[in-house]
This record gives sequence, C-alpha cells and structure tokens, in this order.
Amino acid sequence: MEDIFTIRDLNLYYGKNHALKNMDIALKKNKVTALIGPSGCGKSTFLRCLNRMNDLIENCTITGQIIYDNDNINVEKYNVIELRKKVGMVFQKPNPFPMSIYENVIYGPKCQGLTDKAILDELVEDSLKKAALWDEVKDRLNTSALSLSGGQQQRLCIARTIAMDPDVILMDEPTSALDPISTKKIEELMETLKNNYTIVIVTHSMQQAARISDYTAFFLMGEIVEYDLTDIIFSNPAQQQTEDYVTGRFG
Amino acid sequence: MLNHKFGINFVKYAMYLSLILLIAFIALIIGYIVLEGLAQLNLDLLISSNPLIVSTLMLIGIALIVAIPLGIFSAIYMQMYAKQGRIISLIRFSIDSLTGIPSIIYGLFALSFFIYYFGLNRSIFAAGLAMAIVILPVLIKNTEEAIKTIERSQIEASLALGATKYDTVTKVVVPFCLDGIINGVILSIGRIIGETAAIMFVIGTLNGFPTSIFEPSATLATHLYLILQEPTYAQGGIQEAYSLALILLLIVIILNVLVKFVEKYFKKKRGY
Amino acid sequence: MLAKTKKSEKKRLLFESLYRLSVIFSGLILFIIIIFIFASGFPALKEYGFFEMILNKEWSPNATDPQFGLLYMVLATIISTLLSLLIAIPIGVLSAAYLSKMAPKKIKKTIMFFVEILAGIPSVIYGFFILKTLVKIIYDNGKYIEGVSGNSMLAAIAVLALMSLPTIITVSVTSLDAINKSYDEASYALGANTIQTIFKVDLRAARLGIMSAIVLGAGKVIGETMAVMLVSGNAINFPGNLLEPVRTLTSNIATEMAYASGLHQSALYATGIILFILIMILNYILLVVIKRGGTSDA
Repeated sequence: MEDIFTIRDLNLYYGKNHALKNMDIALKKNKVTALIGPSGCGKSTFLRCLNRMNDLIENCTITGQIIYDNDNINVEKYNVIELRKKVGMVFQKPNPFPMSIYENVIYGPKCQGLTDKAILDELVEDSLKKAALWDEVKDRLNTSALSLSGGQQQRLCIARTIAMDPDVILMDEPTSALDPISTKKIEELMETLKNNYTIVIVTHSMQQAARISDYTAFFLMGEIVEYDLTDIIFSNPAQQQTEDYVTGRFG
Repeated sequence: MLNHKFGINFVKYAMYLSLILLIAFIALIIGYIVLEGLAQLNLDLLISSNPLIVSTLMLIGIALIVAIPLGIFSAIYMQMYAKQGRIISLIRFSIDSLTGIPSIIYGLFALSFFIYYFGLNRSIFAAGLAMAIVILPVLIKNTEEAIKTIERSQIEASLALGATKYDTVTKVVVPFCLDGIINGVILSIGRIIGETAAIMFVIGTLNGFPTSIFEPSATLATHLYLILQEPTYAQGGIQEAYSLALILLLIVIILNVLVKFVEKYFKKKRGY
Repeated sequence: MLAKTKKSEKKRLLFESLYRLSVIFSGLILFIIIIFIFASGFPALKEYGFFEMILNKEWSPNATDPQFGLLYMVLATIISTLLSLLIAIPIGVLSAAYLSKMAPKKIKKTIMFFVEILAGIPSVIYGFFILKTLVKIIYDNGKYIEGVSGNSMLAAIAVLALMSLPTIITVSVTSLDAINKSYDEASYALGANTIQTIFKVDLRAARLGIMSAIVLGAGKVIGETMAVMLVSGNAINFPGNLLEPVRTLTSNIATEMAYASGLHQSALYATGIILFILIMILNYILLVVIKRGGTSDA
C-alpha cells in the first residue's frame, strides 16, 4: 500500500502558539483516513497544511516536511496553485458560489483555461454523477446553487472538487452542518469515492470515523497520539488516552 | 426621571414634538422648492439650463472615469492582497481621513494643485479631477464594505480549487459585490451634482454651450450659487434660480429611487 | 486542459501591480493635500504670525498695513456650530428614537425616504431656502433695528441645524435598528414600558452609533460653506447678537478668494489651515466625550 503524503517533523506556530507539535505520519493512497480528537487540538489545522491553505492565515509558521508526490510542498517555491488542483478541499459549511449549479462545477476548470462547451458539459455530468447528485439536478443545471438543500449543496461542493480531477480530497467536518439523511448519503458517497481518490476527513463524530474510515489518527493537544487501522483504534488502541477518548471518558 | 409618570410623559411629548418638527421641516423645504419652482417654470428656462446639464454630465463623466478604477483597485488591494501591518493601517487612516475634509478645503487644494501648480485652465476637466479626489474615499469605502460581505469561505473555496487570487477577485469577488459598487457610484453622482465649494475656484463660469471639457463652464449647482450671489448675473434672473433648484431636487429624488431599484434588482438576481 | 497561457499570466501581473499602485496613490492624496495647503498658507503665517491670526480681530487685507485677524470669524464658526448642534441633536436623536422603536413600519419607511432625500439636497438649495424664508422674516420684522438686514447668525444657525438633521437621523436610526431584539424583550419582560425601554436600554445600547452620528453631523456643520455664505451676511461682527450678520471661516475663504492675490490669498489658505485645526480639535473633543460617556456604565 502506497503512501501518498509523508509528513516528517511537522511543527506549526500561530505567532507564539505552538499548535502542531512534531508530527510524523504517512497517509495511505486510495484509503479513507479519519482525523479525530477533541475540539481545538489541531485536526483542521493539520488538514489545511496538506493543501497549503494555512498560507491564508497571518503569522502562521510551518516547519518540517510535507512530502507529496516525491516533493516537499512546504517550501516557499512550491507551486501552490498546482498543488490545489491535485489536492482538493470540501469545507464544513457548504459554500457553493452564488452562481448556477453548472457554473459552480466548471469554475475550477474554467480558471485553468478550459472553454470547450462539449467537454465542459461532459465534465459537469461526470462530476455530478460521481458526487451522487446528477439525478437530482440534471434538469435544472442553470438554476442557482443556493436553491439546493444543505446536503445537496455539499454534494455540489464535492462535485466541484471532483471536476478538477484531484488525487486527494480533504474534507473538514463535511457533514457536521447537515441533517442525518444527508449525512448518510455523503458517507455512502465516500465509500465509492475512495476507489478513485484518497480521502482525508476531519470528523467530530467517532461513530462516523468508525463507519467510514480505513485508517484513523487521534489528535490531542496538537500532537498525533496514535495512528493505525480504524479497527485497531476503536477496538484495541495502544495508548491509554486513545482508549479514554474512544470510549467516551472525555472529549 | 423616567420612573415617574411625569417624566415619562415629558419625554414622550418631547419625542412627538421632535417628530412633528422634523415633518414640518421636510414639508417646508420640499414644498417650497416644488411650489416655487413649478410657479416659475417655463419652457425657455428649461432650455436655457441645457448647457448646465451637459456640463454637469461631463463633470460626472470625468470624475467617474478617474475615480472608479482607482477606487475599486484600491479596495481590492486592501481587502484581498494587503498584509495587515503598519503601512496598510497608515494608508487606511489616510483614506478614511479624507472623508472628514470639508469641501472648501478641497476647493483650495484644487486651485493650488491643478490651476497654479500644473497650470491647467479653469475648466470642467480641472473640476472633474477635483471631484474625483472628493468621491474617491466614498467609492473605496463602499467597495470595501461590499467585498466584506462576501463570505470568507467562498474565497477559500475558490482558492482550494486551484484558482489564483486574481481569478478569485475577477470571477467571484467583483461580480458579487457589483451592487455595492454601483451603490457607491450612485452616491458619488449625487455628491458631484450638488457640490459647489470644491469646484467653484477651478471651474470658471458659464460660457455658452460647453463644447470642450477643457473650457470653463458651470454646473447646475455652481450656476445656481452665482445667481443667488448676484441676481443680475443670469438673464432669467431669480426665476432661473427656482427652476434650477427644482431640477436639482428632482435629480436627487431620482437618484434615491434608483438606489432602491438597484437593491431590488440584485436581490432578485442573487435569489435571496 | 491547460490553455492557460503566458498571456493570462501577464494580465494577472499587470492588474496586481495596478492594484498596488492604486492603493499607494490613494494613500498619498491626504499628504499631498496637506502639503499644498500648508505651502500656500505659509507665507501669510510667516509674515503675519499664526497666533496673531487667531487672536487679532481686525481683518483688512487691502489696507496699506494688511491685517489678517480671524478672531471674530473663529468665534462665529465655533458659536454657530455649537448652537446649531444644540438644536439639531435633541430633535434628531428623539426623532430617530421614535422612528426606529415606535413608528409603524409604513410611516417609518415614508419619513426615512424623505430624510434620505433631504440628506442629498445640495447645500446651495438649503441656503436658497433659508434666504427666501427666514432671512426675509427677520428682515421684515427687524429692519427698524439698527444693523438688522435679515442675513444673520440666527439664519446661519437655522440652516446649519437643518443640514445636520438628516445625517444625525439616518445614522442614529441605523444604529438603533441594529440593536439585538433580546434587549428589548428582556426589558419588557421586567415590566418596563416603551418609553423606559427606549431610553434606558436602546439609546444606551446604540450610544456609540448615535455619537458617531453626532460627530458626522458636527463635521458637516463646521465645514459648511455655501449655505452659510448665502444667509449669514458676511459682515465681520463679534458674534454676540443673533440678529446681526457674521462671517465664518468658511465664508471668508469662499467670499474673498475670487479677488485675492499674493499675501491676501495666502492668508485665505491660512484660514483653511486654521479651519482644519479647528476640525481636528472638535473631533478630538467629541472623541473624548464619547469615550467618557461610552465607558461609564453607571
């Protein structure tokens, strides 16, 4: 099984605040990896390192190596735009652009210069199918994305990311703002997505992590306490803190 | 005082009185302009105000052509590109302070800068440049506010899809704060139309029908002022003043209504 | 897929540098204005003296020994500002309180529509209106009194109060509207009535916004030129009698610039500098008052 991201000695500082400490982890290709742990312990921060979204935050310093595709992406010179084409992100609160469904999906490719309508049409259908949204919206691609329900909007965001044909899809608590039925639909979606993409998902729900992930990393106070196959983390963890968390003694 | 009946009633009646005074003022001013203006209205006067209207339009055109790009670009930089720091804070303070400068000071500046220092003629062009400076802070503030209404997560979503900041600005940010920008433009137009003190030293006087922006002329407002100072100055005399006042009032009303229409249109387009 | 060419890269770099240049230019404008005004006013200040200008009461720029004393004008500006605000603030804030918290929606909408129109009416028209009404009334009733011509400080105060009302009202209404409804609910739940709620809770909660409304109104008033010029009479009197004409700093500049040259003109620029300083002092005082009134939650 191949590693798609290898992180070595990663440290992140918000000003003087040492938010991520000495992280070493290797994420597996074409698997779903869940990042779990109590609030504020660095899960989202870590996720955002993988596509250099922390660049948007002032006063944020990151040291260490984040190796993707044989290259350390944590270097000034690294082409961030290219990185984000291959490593996409879905956010906690669905955030489709106030444009039509069609325009949302083709946004990324259009920015890259793709203008051929036939290709774009095909891309839209393909992406929406892969996001399990096509049947529901195929007759109204030109209506506003904001007219969709929360769950549909989130699947649209997933479709939009898929349209870029990434290798990795990062998800930052993608279902925490959704109702249980939409949540279930998206979890089922992730099962099929992992055949073609690597998925790294931050989640607050241990049950969700147990349901959908192959690997799980447990974060606590800016450190990765334990990282292993999901089955092991939940049934026979090596660390006491892990066991305390997954059995609900805190968190 | 507010805990006793007397106190409460006193305050209550004070409020009602204030309201009545307010309504009285509104009625008096608008009523006066409309009634006197209509009484003095005749076709000749309307025709003779044509050159003034053209000059005013030329002035607006020049000021907007200069200030709109300058303003929008500045706002984009401050909201999307700038790193928070001393220099940007200083620039922002500098731009904010411009709003507190009285028009007459802009007038003094325009005179010494455009006419004396750069040797421009007294003209619509010079006045246009002066007004561009006056409306610039308004445009910047409105555009900035509009940009701020765009949720951060939209911008993050765009960047996460591999778009550059420039793409994000042109494809997501600017299209969706168009209504705020248009609002700022309409506000600026209102300001330009009514402005006198800032341009009175650099625009000159009415010189027949304006054929070039590099010639002196007068706007509706500056001409009205000159008539009031010297009633013999205008052929139409004091009647012309009333017509001009009525025209200006109508323009203000139209602009106000326009703002509401723009708001409605964009609300509809956006779907919420 | 990649049709993204060097051309679009060039475009991006071009625009991004335009953005940067624009903001630098915009930031510099204030300083350029200050430099030019100071440079133009400096000769008069140097020749005549800064403190002399403020404290001397004689203004005769065309005399053989020209005098550039602004004292009476400084006083006229300050007094007319203060008195007009004294009228406009209570009327404005109380009206705003009614409109925001007590008026039926339709009435509020209609009145605010007209208030916004009033806010957009050019200053010359305000001056025109007062000139043809109040000034006439004062003249008709007072022409037998020596020195009364209609144009007077009273007229100036009236026009300034009128002009600052729309600003004070619109900003106050916005601030009052923005208050969290839960404050009102809590007050009513404790048995307070409408008036008590408005004055004890709402005006308090919105005090920062209302105070900035006042600052904005004050700024408008102190720098007003056209309206004041049309109704205040332009005679340089000690501003002691409401019915007598006065001249403000702004009127001074606008009236005399048409035929001023040399040192005279420089003195007018110096008048502008002094006006500017006065505005900064006013803003500072208002800010201190706001801070004092804002933080004491007694």
